[in-house]
Amino acid sequence: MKRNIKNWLFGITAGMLSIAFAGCEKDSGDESVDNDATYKAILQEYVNATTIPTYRALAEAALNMRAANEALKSGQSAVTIRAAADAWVQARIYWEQSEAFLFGPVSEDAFDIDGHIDSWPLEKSAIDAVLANEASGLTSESCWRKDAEEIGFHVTEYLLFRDGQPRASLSNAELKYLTAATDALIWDCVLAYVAWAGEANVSQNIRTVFRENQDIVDFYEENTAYHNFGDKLKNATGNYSSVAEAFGEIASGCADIADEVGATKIESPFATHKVEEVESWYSWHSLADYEGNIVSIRNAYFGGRDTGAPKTNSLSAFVAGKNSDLDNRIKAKIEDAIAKIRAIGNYNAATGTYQYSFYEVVRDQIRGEQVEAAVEACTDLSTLFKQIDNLID
Amino acid sequence: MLCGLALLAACADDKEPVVTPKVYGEETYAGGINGTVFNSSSFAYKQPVPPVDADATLYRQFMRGERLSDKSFVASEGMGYSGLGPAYIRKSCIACHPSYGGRGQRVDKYDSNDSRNCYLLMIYNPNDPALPLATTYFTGMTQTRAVPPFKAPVDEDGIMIEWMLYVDEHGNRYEDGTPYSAGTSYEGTLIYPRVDIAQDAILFTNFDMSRHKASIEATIGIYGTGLLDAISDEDLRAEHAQQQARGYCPGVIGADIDETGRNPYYPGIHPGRFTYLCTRATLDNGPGANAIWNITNVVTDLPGRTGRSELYITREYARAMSLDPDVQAIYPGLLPQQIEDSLMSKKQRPEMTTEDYDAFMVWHRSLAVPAARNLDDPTVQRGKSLFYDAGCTACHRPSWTTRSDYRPMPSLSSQKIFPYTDLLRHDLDMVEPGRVRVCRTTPLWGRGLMKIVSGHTDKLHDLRARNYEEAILWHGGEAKQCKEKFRSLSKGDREALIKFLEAI
Repeated sequence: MKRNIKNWLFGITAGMLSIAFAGCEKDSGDESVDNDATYKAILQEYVNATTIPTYRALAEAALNMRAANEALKSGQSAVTIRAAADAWVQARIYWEQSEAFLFGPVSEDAFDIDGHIDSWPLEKSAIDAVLANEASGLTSESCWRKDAEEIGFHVTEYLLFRDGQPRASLSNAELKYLTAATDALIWDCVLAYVAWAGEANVSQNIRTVFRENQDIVDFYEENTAYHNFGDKLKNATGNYSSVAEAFGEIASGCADIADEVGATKIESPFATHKVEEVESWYSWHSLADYEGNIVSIRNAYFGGRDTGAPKTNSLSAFVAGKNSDLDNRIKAKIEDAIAKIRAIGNYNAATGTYQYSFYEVVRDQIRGEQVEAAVEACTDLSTLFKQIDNLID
Repeated sequence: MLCGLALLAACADDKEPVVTPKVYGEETYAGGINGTVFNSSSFAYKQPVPPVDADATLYRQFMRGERLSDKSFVASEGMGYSGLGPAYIRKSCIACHPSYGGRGQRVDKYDSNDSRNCYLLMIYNPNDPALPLATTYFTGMTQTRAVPPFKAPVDEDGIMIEWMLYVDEHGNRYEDGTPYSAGTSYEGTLIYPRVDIAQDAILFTNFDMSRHKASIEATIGIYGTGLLDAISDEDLRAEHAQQQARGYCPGVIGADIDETGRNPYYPGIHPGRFTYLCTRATLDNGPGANAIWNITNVVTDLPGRTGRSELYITREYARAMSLDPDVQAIYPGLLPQQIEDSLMSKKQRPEMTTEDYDAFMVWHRSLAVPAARNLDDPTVQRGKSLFYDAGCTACHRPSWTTRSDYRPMPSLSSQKIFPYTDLLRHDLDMVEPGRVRVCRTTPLWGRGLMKIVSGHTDKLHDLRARNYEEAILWHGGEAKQCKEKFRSLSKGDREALIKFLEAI
């Protein structure tokens, strides 16, 4: 597979021409004012209709995990365990649908929410030691302060699933750990939502949950650069010194996750033949995770969430106005990437199920052609998104 | 050029560019044509250099290497990234290198589980601060974590960081009377850290902390280090010789290091150029190549690479652990001496494959430098003139050309780059600098994007400077004249100079 060789060669050519062109750069003048208005309108839609609603959905889905856990604690049955597992899956879907915007509050430079809730691998010996000790002394607050490898989505997954199915039962210690780890997860998801939307703009219920743990509130208060981040992004204030810089985040976020889905999440486990490299392998939710990432890209590109077509104020509309060929290629490649990811597991659209989990694909080293095709599609998608920078003045 | 254009016309699929890249003057290509990426977003420091992005094999190694830098290593067996400990500093590269080029934040408490804390702790001999503390007790970078039942050499709860106020000889004011950092919440102040470690926080009962000192050092950016590695020794030595001859600001070159057995591309003697104290000479034996081992204590067993199949611990640590009943319990039937010998064995079981290490180094070597921005802006151009007039370029050397035959990554050869460093050490005479009194000139390229990437602008080796202004104002010693010239500028000119720094 070849990457964007032509882009690089063009860069060399451009460099050779640079002496001739130096000093001839265009004074953007009034044009940049027009561009800023366009960029701001798109950022407004991106923040108001894509990122903040996604984080709200994530926070609410995480809270549903708490409700499901309460039912589970009241009485373990196949039904209550299934409900808790389903609640995990729903929260997981929204998290994956947020990964085209892994910058701002969730990044490692800010509140490191990504690192805190989606860490893999697990420090399994430490988790098992807590369970062996009957989760003695474990509270939700102490859980939030644990190392990231002992909390988050994958620990709650480990407690709820085995081999792609909800577990038959959980021990008292496991229930205790699940309850505490779920609370820690909820707080981080709520923190992401509050930081993007601003505490004043979330519901009273969310605000109450946000303030359940004073450590979270203190942590938040100590880093004001990421408060009300959505407003800062769409108005290019705070960390941003120009609207173009803020606008560039949308395409960069898409390129970043496209690269990660293809060349790391899919390629890395298959190439190293290590099932341990597969994320979400207790639930066998990996392929849905990856598809969720591409959906995240589509939402960021089209504006809104699951709109089916680009909104008027969207990155797609902007690109189409500048270079319709690039826009068409990106739209087609998004669908192609989803199809290729589904093909890895021989997805059955009628039943919504996969014949193979990614865990089995890696374990048995099967579906190599489909894996390669999906990696290539994601990589191509990243290459296309990286070209958008050239359209931004 | 015609050959290139002919190639361009031959391609037409989704791997090929649809958009014509813009063309700029050479200084915009801060990392040279092959080492520069046009990205000014939060992801600016994470991009591969264009030739790696264009090569299927290298690109996949880059992405694999990125994964290795991002993942936490764990102590549990069979988890894909096993091998952490017994003692360690952090679990991953990204724990101290957020966004690979961003920097951590000033903290009041040394908690290695706090993502904001990207400091390394150093315990040193105040009589010889430039040397790593080569005692039998502590490793050069002090370990503060351990995998149970092992104990950490230092308990983090006993590390105290205090931020002290400092007033310079001008009362923290510019010549025009304006206080430093005017308009901020910290207007008219300067701060620096003081670090102490309680005696009872130290594992070794016979180590006397009162005869030693401690300091904190923040990590720096990884991007562009492949290009710095590609500068020839001859050019570095020539810069050093030129500085000795000129009669002012004579930089200190890193000591010669024998890289035989550690650098497969360039075995032999090389002058140090990496780390604040220039204690590492080449990238293949540089801070990153060593950190993947000594930060996590993940053992690699590399053919042709000596010294990495042992644990990064001291004999005293091994001895202390061998006498610990909890540790003895996991070595049933072994005597303390046997436990100590086992921990000090130079043939530990490898925990990272050669393929993974190689991929890690491809990633490390090929993180691109973000392009300079707004160089045609009149204020930026004014700032550039002031930067040169103030004498800053005496140490912040604007450009270098990389060697013509950079073997580890030939595409980084012969690149004209603009890092703004001489790769030499200078005495800035800061108050309480810790170990780093004579510090390597920090590369300035790409730093203007730190606010977008990291949400702050903290600078210098211990993050005592809260913005560009303070970073300049902490320049004393050899650079005092430059500081005074900056102090004497009008407000508009000071702002223009900083605009230039933000642009490059």
